[in-house]
Parts: sequence; structure tokens; C-alpha cells
Amino acid sequence: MAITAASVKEPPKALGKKMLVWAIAAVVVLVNLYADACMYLNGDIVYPLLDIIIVGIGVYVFTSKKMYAQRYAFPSVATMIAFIIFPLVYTVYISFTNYSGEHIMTVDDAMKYHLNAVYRSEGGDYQFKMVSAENGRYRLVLTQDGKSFVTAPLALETGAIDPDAKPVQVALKPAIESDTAAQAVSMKELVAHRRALQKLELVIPDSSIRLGMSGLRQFSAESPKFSVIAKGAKTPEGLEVNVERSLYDNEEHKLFVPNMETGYYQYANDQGLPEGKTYAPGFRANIGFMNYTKFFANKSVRLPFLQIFIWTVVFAGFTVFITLAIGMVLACLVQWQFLAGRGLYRVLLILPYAVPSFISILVFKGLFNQNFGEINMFLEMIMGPIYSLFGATWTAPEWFTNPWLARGMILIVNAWLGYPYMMILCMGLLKSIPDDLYEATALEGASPLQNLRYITLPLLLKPLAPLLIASFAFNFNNFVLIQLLTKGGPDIIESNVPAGYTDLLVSFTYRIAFEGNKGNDYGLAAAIATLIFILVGFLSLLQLRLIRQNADQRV
Amino acid sequence: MPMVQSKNLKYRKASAHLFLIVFLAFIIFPLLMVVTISFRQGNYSVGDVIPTPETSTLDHWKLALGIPVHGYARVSGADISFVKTDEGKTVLYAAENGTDPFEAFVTAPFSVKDAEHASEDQRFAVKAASPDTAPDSANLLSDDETYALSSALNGKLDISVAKDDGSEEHYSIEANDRSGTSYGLYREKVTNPPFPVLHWLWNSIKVAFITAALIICLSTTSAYAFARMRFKGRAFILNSMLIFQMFPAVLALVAIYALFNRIGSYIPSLGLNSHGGLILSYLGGVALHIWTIKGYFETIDPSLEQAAAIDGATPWQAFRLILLPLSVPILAVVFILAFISTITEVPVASILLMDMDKLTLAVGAQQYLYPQNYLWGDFAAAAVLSGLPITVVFLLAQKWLVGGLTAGGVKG
Repeated sequence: MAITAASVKEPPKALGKKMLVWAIAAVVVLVNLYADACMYLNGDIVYPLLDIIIVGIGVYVFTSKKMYAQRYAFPSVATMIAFIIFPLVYTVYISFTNYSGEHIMTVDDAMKYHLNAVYRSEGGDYQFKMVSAENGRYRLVLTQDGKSFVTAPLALETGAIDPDAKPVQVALKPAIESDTAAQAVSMKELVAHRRALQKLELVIPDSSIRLGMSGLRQFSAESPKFSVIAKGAKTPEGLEVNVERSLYDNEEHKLFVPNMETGYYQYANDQGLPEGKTYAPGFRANIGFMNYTKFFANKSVRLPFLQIFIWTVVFAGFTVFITLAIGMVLACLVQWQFLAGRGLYRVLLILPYAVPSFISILVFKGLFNQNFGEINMFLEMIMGPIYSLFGATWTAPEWFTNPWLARGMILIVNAWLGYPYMMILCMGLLKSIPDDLYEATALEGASPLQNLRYITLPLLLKPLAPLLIASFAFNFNNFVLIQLLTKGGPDIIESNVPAGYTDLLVSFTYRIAFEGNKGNDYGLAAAIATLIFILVGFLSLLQLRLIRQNADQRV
Repeated sequence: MPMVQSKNLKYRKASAHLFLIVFLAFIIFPLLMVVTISFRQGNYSVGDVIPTPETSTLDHWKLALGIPVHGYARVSGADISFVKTDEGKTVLYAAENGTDPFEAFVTAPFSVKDAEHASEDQRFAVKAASPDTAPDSANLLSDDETYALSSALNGKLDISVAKDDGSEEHYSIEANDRSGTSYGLYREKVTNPPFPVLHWLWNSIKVAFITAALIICLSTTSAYAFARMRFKGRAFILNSMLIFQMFPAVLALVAIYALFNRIGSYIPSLGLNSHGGLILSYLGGVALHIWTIKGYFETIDPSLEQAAAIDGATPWQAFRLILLPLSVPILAVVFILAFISTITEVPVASILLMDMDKLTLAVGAQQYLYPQNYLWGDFAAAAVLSGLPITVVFLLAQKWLVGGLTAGGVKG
């Protein structure tokens, strides 16, 4: 009998202790609220929300009297929410966006990027030279049609400069003859300082003209290319602005608006809507089901996806079947009471399960190597003479470049890795089959095969079913095997997303997200991940139902 | 069943043994190969597949243990010749033969007799310098005498040549092949360990140990609540835990990366490229362990705790003083399972960790077998070195682990 809710009540506490609990709760709440406020001001919404939810539930659970039982469960539930469920939900969200290598910033960052752009405005170009001043400083001397200006000595840094740093305003004053006659520093020295020079904004005295570096020999008058224009306002041309974060192009006198469907800024047409050429950098935008429809619309995505999906199902199904078959036969053998040395056999047979999988997979990668691998050397040793006997020459199998051999290799390696688990499970279940069943069949003169067919198999398969589904789901998502052994290769050439003949859906997803040749397409990867989530969720529901059925029957 | 023994039992037993032995030969083959490869010379399997004691080397093991290996590499651009001096000593000339640039040197006169007593560890030291003049061709030993002398000096000399920049280069005379059909000049070469394997192993053990300990803390308290208390949402939480732990983390890597990137911008020690962040991410995987421990708790009779409760123990006291001491075996099983599953985890660690000295073994070990830098022999030694302790722990704990696996799985 378990303790019922009525019997589990919070034990009464002294007033001092109660105060302490409330004080700690207050501190936790205040610290987290402060952190959340900071995060929110930094432009985050999701993370402070996640924090508030977890902390809020936590404080409620630990202070409310009714929630005494939940206190024990809360910490692990909270970590699961933060590190399993949140990433899941976030992944599903990403699948509805165009988040990728080309669309990595937010629309606000893209706007800031465009606002940094400048164009050459009136005021013309100035030739300049850099001359040495005292203490390793430099002066800049600018000339245009006989007019000359000079700066005060400037300390210029070399090397990388923070690209987000604000331009440095420097006042110019009319130059005297000694300045214009001074010897310019070498081009090499100039180039070494060019990043610092590009950050300068020189101000012509008594005018609003600002000069920026426009080449290695000249500074030019420049103005910001874009300026912010509010939604609802009208451009000088009378076009109404109906998109947030629109910009006005001061040079071409056109409206520049973010297109939330393509994830790029574009120029507006007569109706004030984005049209025509897109301008990098792209930004993240919600694109609805576009990532999902890519499978149907785009043949070069759909074909590899279907191919990989079929291979994944075949791989997982075949692995479960073969490991179960091997494991069951071995379990029956090592449980056989007449067999001597059963203990030793058992330990040796479990060995592949005891060796860490990442090591054994890499070992197989080396052993199967086409040129230096020991497996091909042994095959050569055995098959070479046999082939030459018949006048043929033995060619080494190309385990990593032939699609079918690569798939065969993966199945062999996974059978090696997986059969001990099935053997262990079967061993445990065999013990629960009563011996008198076999005695009865022995009296009737049944063969071992008949025993297996009519007693062992039916009695094993029922309790094994949920575990077989779990094993199927595990192998369906067996990323480590593929990543360490073949990395998905050999590649499917016709595909324009990274895809290989041995890729499983998970490794395919991983490669789209992290190894894409056209930039990493996180959105597409998340869409495939979401499809797999649905499938895995379905499988685990099925598993749960089977477990429950077994439990009901046993009672 | 002993009462009904079939006549062909003997043959059946023999064929069962035969089958098991053949099967085991195939299963154990890769593991035995790795052990032999770790003792083989070089990183490519040329020559022997199975090394004999004469051809085996401990170089890969030294590198795996982080010890630099001193070896000798042939200087193909050099010819050696000997000259006898009047005092009965010998001078060695090494000259460029035109195939490779090489700076010629001549040794100080030395006694061959003394050199012959030197050993592999205690070589006979000879100083050498750039030659002022070419050797007098009249005093040069004949080819046969040179061969005899080279064979006598094989592996015994340590010729140090002072370079202009103050450094020293060490040369030796070694056989070009095992049977000693020819000899050549060899330059000492120090091979540094390619990767910090022991450091990676330590990282792995550290992360796995802390993760397993924290998982025990989290999962025992939760399992207690789920096993002994009835509250709203209990079944829902239990079932959804079982479902969610089946989703592979590799599919949510982008989100996990983004999450820890954000955490790291506020608390760097829990962010990207930190072991704290990695441990934190592993804590999400408590669900299966909660189920296992809960299953065990349910096999323990609650009357003990009820008796304690009547005597005035709080639920926490009943849990800590009665239930926990009774469930040490299952805690050990869960600890080892969590430990092993953490040590062998690849995708999350490969995304969260970047620096070479922060990597865990499972992520770092891949670097041995890049096609551009294929270190098969070095990998074999590192694999045996790091895989052996984990394998031994597993085999020792096997009896309990097997019980735990089937208990957690079958009972549900």
C-alpha cells in the first residue's frame, strides 16, 4: 500500500523555519526577476519567459502546503523542461522560420547593418597622404583643387578593429606649407593602419561635410545611405509607409522595406510593397510551412529524403530483426543446462556491449578501411588464391565508396554492437519460462526447433514487444553509428542538400544543419526533425500501450 | 528434464560448443586486432598483420600516455664512409650524395671497440662538425669493410652535430631493413603525442562522474514521490517523461546550442565550451533512471516507512533513513548506467565543446581517423588504453546491470 495524498502532508514547521523558507523564496524570485529584466532589455523574450515559468512553478511548489509531494519531483521535472522539452519546442518553432546560414540575424540587426551603409554625397573627393608625427602618431593631409587640410596627430591602431565600433570624428584645419610638403609614409605602413583609418570621420571646418575613407589614396564626402522612416509616415515622393522598420534610401530616393516572407530587404514598388532584387544580409522570418512544402515542391530535396527515409526504416527494422535472432539463439544456447562453460561464454558474448560504442565503431572504421584495413587484407589472403585458381583476380571491396557495400558494412557493425543487448533481455525472459513446459514436450519427443517455434518464441515475443519498439526507435535515430563510421557517405550526387547513401534521417538532419554547402539550413533541418519527433512520439505511445497490456495480463 | 535425455545429446553439445567458438572468433576478432595493432610499428599496416615480438613496438602506447617518442628517420640524401686514423681510431664522414640537401659532417676520431660495447639505451656519444677538407680517398675503407663496420656500429652511435644556431642534431647508423642488407644514416626525430588522450579521458570521467552523481540526486527524490505518493498529474508526468526521453537530442542540437549560447552570455561557466554546460545538458536525461528506481522502490514493502511515520518521522526522514539505505544496489546500477551513457555520448558534446583540451574522449577520439591525418596505430593504443577501464567496470558490474536493465525495461 502506498501512502495516499491524505497521509503525505507537510509536517508542521516552527515559525522561524517558515520565515526562512519565505525569505529564501523572496531572494530567489528577486534575483531571477532582475536577471529576466536584464535579458528582456537585451532583446530576449523566450529565455526570460522560460525562466519565469520554471522559477514560478518552483517557488509555488516549495512554499505551498498542498504541493508537498510535488517538491520531490520538481527538480527533475524542471531539468527535463529546460533541457529536453524546451529544445524540442524551440526546434519545432525553428522549422517554421527560414533560420539558416544566410538568415542568421534578427530583422533589427539587419536594419542596423543597412543603416551603417554610406554613399558618396556632394563635396567631392580629397586626395590624402599619411605623414609621420611625433611618438608614432600620424597626421593626415588632404588636398582638393589646391585646398589643403590637415588633422592633429592621431594615434592609429594596427590590426583588427571592432567592426561595430562607432566612427571617430576628427576635425580638420587648413594646412600650412610644411604639412603639404611632408614626406608620406610607405604604402605598407598605410595598409597596416587601414582599418583604423576606415573608422575615421573627418569634418571639414565650417561645413557639414563629413569625409570617410573611400580608397587607399582618397577620402570622400559621404552621407548615410539609409534613414529610418516610421510606419504610417509618407516618403518625400508621397508613398505611404506601411511596413515596420522601413528605411528611406537617401541616394536613390526610394523606399527600402523588409520583406518578412523572403527574409531580405527589398525596394518598394508603387504600392509600397517589396519587389525585385533582394539585398543581403538576410534576416530570420516566419515562413509558415515553406520548409515542409520544400519536400514536395523541390525534387532534389524530395528524392534524397525519400531514399534516406526508406533506408532508415530498412536499417532499423533489419537491425532489430537480426540482433533479436542472434540474441535469442545465443540466449537459448548459454541457458542450456547441459552446456559446460556457460559463464565464460556469457561474459565473452557480452563483450561487444561492454566496450564503449564510440571506440568499437571507430575500430571498425579502421578495420574496414579500403587501403590499409585489416579486413581487406584478410579477405585478400583468403580470396586471392581462390580467385586465381579460377583465373580471376580478386578486387578489394570498397566499403566506403560503394553504396551497397557501405550499407552492408553498417548492418554488420550494428549487428555486432546490438546482439548482446537482445541476448541479455532474452536471458532474463527465458528464466521466467517454466521448465515443465519443455519436459512435457520432451516426453512427446519434440525436437529443439519445435520447442523454439511453439514454446520459446511465443512466450518471449509478447513481453519483448515494447522493448523491440524501443530498439527500433533507438536504431531509427542511431546517429553515433553513422557519424563515426561513414558520416553518411558515399554522397548522393544528384542531391543539392548534403545527403549520402548511408545517411539516416537524423544524420541527414545533422548534415543539413551543420554541414550544408550553401550555408547551414537550420529551418529545413528542424522541419525534418519535427517529422521525426512525430514518428518517435507515435512509436513511444505504441510502446506505452504494449507495456500496459503486458502489465494488465500479468495481474 | 534429466529423466528424458535424447540419445544424440553428445552431438548436440559438441555442435553447440563448435558454433559458439566459431561465433566468438568472429566477435572477438576486431577487439584482438586492435590490441595487436597497438603494438605494431607505424600507422599503416604494411608488413606483418600480427606483429612478432621482434617487430612490435611500444611507441603507440608511449604516445597515448603522453610521452614523446624518440625515433630515427633515414636521411636519404647522405652517404657514409669511414677513414682509419694512425692511432687505430676511426673517423666517419657523412656527405651529400645529391638526392637531397644535407649538410655534410665529419666525426671526431673514435674507437670502434668502445662503441661496440654501447647499448640501445646508452649509446656511444661522438661529436661531429662540418668538415674542413674532404676525406683522403686513399685512406677510405673499402665497401666490404664499410659494410662490416656499419653492421658493428648498428644502433650504437649517438653522433651530435652542433648547428650554427646553437642547436644540436643527433645522428646514428641504423640498418635499412630488418635483415641488415644495407645500412644508412639516420637522424633523430622526436614525435610528440598527437592528442592529449589522458586529458580527454580525465575530462570524460570528470563529466560522467558529476553527471551520474547529480542524476542520482535528482532521480531518487523524484522516484520516491512517484513510487510512494499519489498526487494530481502523477501518471501524466510519468508517461510524458517516458515519451520525451525517446526523442534523440541530436535532433534538437540547434536549439540546445542556442540555449547554452544564451546561458553562457550570462554565466560563462555554464555556457558553450564549458564542462558545466555539458553536465547541465545531460541532466535532462533523468527520465529512464527515475523509472528504474521507481520500479525498485515499489518492490520494497512500505510498511517500514509507515511504521516510522507512526513514530513521527517526516516523509523526508522516512525516505532518507529507511528507503535510501535499502536501495543502495539499484543506486549503484543507475550510477554506472548514467556514467557509461554519459561517457559514450557524442552529438551534444561535439556541439557544445570546441577547445582541444576541453573535448571528451568520445568526441576527440574521432580525430585519429581523419583521412588527411590517419593515425591508425596511435588510435589503437589510445582506444585500448581508454576503453579498457570502462569495459572492465562494465563486466564487473555486469551481473547487477543486467538485472537493472531487465527490471527497468520489462516491468514498466
